[in-house]
Amino acid sequence: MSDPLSNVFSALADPTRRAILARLARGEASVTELARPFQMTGPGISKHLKVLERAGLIVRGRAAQWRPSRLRARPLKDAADWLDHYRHYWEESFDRLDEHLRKLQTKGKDGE
Amino acid sequence: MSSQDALAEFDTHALDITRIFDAPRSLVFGAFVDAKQALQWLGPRGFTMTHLDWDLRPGSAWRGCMRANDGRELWHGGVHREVTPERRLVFTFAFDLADGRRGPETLVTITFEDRGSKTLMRFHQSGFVTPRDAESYRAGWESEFDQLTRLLDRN
Repeated sequence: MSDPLSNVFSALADPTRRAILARLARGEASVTELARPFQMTGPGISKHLKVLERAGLIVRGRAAQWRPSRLRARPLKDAADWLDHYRHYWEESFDRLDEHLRKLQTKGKDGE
Repeated sequence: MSSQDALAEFDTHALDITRIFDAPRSLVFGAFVDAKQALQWLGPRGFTMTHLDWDLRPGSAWRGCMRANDGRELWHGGVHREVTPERRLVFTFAFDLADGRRGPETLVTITFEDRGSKTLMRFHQSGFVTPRDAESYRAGWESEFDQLTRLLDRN
């Protein structure tokens, strides 16, 4: 099985799917309702919904005709947390770079 | 609303860090481009960079590995896009995921400017899809966004 987070990221990489999520943040919706603002066909939207479902970003009702999609927030939050990892990585690297540059310059002066 | 407007929502987010280093630009730039130096300062505390292939010719791939205190290794890398000596570095950056595939791709741009005898560094990393943090979004989408934020906060 592939990593859940990479599924989330590839699902979020598409602007139509992000817009679908924005619509679902307002409440559950059927395929027809989701297709309307995008001027897309039902099957086109269904393809996107399958990707979102696989990534765990939405759940879909079981009723055959009316299969409302609903947003699941947890995977989105995990994706957002990635930003914090990078911030941590760079802020601390730059602290160390600061020390490194200080040492370099002290050494330079000693050598003179 | 046109589909175009709908799609403009959920921008990718970026990380911005600005620092002034008390060293001349040539020295600061050198610390970035010299792999031996970069090995010494790159990576957060609690991690040791154990490997760094860092050939700055545009188009060449770079690869790094940092080891956590618990022995866990985190591989990461990307491709150098632009190198303007002592002024600008552009490269892609992604961490490997647990299954060995590349994680979400990001783009890093670092610029260096003189500030007297010091150096102003501007760091910009973009490509994150983080709807929770997106600051600018079009009128008409505020309510959707607020609800999404509340949903995320609740979890």
